Amino acid sequence: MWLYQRKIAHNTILLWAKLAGISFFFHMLLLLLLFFIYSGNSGEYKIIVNKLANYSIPILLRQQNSSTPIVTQPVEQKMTQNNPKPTEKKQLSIKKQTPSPVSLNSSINTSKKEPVQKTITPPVPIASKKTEQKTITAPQSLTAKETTKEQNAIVSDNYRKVEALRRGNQLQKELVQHWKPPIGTPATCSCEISFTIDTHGKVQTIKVIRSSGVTMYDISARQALFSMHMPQWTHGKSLVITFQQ
Amino acid sequence: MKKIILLCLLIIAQTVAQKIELTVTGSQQAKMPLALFVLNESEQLSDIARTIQKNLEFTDQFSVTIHNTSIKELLKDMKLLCAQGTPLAACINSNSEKIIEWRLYETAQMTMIEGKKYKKKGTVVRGWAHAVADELWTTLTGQKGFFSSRITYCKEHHTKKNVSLKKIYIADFDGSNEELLVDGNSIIVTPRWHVDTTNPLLFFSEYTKKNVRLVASTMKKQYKITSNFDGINMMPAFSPDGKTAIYSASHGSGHCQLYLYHNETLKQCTNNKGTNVSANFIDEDHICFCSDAPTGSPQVYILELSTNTLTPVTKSGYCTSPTYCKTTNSIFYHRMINHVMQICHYDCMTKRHTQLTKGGGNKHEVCCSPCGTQLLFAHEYASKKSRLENLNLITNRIMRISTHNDHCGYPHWSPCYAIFPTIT
Repeated sequence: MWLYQRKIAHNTILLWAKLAGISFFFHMLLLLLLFFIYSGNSGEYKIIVNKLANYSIPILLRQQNSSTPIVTQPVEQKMTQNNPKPTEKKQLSIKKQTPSPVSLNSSINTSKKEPVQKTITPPVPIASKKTEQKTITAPQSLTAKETTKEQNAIVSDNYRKVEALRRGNQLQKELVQHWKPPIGTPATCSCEISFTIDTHGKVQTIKVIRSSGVTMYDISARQALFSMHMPQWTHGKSLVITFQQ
Repeated sequence: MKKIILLCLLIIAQTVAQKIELTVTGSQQAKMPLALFVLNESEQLSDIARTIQKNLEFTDQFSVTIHNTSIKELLKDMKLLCAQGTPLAACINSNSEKIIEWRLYETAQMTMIEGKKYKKKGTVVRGWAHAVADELWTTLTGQKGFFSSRITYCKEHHTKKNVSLKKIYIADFDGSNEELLVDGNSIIVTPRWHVDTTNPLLFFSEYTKKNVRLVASTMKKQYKITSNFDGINMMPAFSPDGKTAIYSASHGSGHCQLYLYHNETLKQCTNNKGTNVSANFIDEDHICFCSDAPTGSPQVYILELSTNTLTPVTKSGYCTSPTYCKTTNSIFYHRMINHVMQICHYDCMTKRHTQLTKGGGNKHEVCCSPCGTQLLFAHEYASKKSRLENLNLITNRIMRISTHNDHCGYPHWSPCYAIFPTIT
């Protein structure tokens, strides 16, 4: 009998050990996922920037304050000196649908039992020659300098969006420094290249998805990719870049 | 248990494969660096390499450096070039007497883009170089080359008695390697190339005591009178198939009309009391020409030969010397702007006019290269003195073609030849 009881106890301990092991395994897996793999960039997003893009436009994260009035004022976009031909594009279009976080101030309103009304300010189109109406939430205590600075800024209340825009801008700045389209190529030329970056930042497995039809144009784009220094956040990722004039 | 682990791994793998898409626009264009390697160096290959370098640099789109190397060191040299920022390398080699082999490489990935064997045609070494440069150019830019073409023009000479004579010369597309084709004792004007690329023929007008007759000349300096009517016979143009010709003739009436020659029959196309000159074929049924009959001042018109319908291209001002470019489907002509003749461009598709040249000095007799990217014209730099200049439509750079003190005019650009023509 004692032997049988011992056996039961042993089996119970074994069972508990197995359960503990399995839960420990899944716990470690979750931690691995959270800290090393998941970076909040799942899915694709596309940014289209026109020729006159001013890459130094500030990207501001502003928390949505429902009590502040929405101010609409015309904004004249600046033209950069080096680019004599203005283009008519373009709007920022972001495919990814990420749930925007609930703003802090709205939590104050919930105590009054009112429904949370979220208004997301649309991103400002970059470097358009026409004057445009822009909706800005103007905090009450803004100085004159801050208002003029923020008039040309891209404002968003989604920190993931802002981070994505900043990263995209950083990569574009780096690319434009290294890439010079060859003289004589038509203005409508564009090519699409996909490549992966290894963990050391080196470009691997370049593939031309869509050729421009002009060999030297494709070559200049590939050369630019090899010569540029990839930012840290691109390491271990695959990118698709469209080069256009 | 194993299935759970496999499922977890699958989920992880999917989250790892992330794609980021970006579109980048570049603002500043630059010349493309290209390294030209000569394998198994010889004097002939070196000459060919230098000619290719000169040709590609003429276009202002490439900056070419020549290197001598061997097959063993080619890889090492290309890696060095990649590090220096030269993305393109072209190798030329001539293993046999009849063939020149060229290969184009991308230095970043050490891959061959294209390679061809050019079978030598003719005996002119620079002709082979022009042909190889044409092939390289077409591979890199997707455009038709123009290096295997020639230009012709009139140059003024003074005799001992200070009589002014004009002689006809031919030269390479950049004005180099000038050769005298027609050396007569009379005034010779308006040379025009025939469109036949296998048999180079040059037509010109020669002043005689009785008339201005139309003469054809081969590269062997064999002349034949082709139109000897009374009055003026000049400025022939040929249809794309070469079987129809149109030229201006006055037949002693005092008014230049256009005559079409096809199947050994001569047909009068215009009948007015004006001057109709500078006819060019747009296609088999359409021609563009200059006439002062309808408005009193010279304008550019398009005539449909089958229906005799006249469409004005220009409606006002003083517009002359149209020339049609098939590659770009456009007409280049001259217009008086602020008392100076300038070169203008008319796009046949969009019907838009653009002024191409500015500045002082009248521009005359513009003609276009076979690829449509270069314009050759006579630019007056002093009273009754002009020189040949080339306008690169891609970079808008004007380059002098003729030498400094020469008085040259009436330029015309030939088509590209398979066998490079020279005077024999």
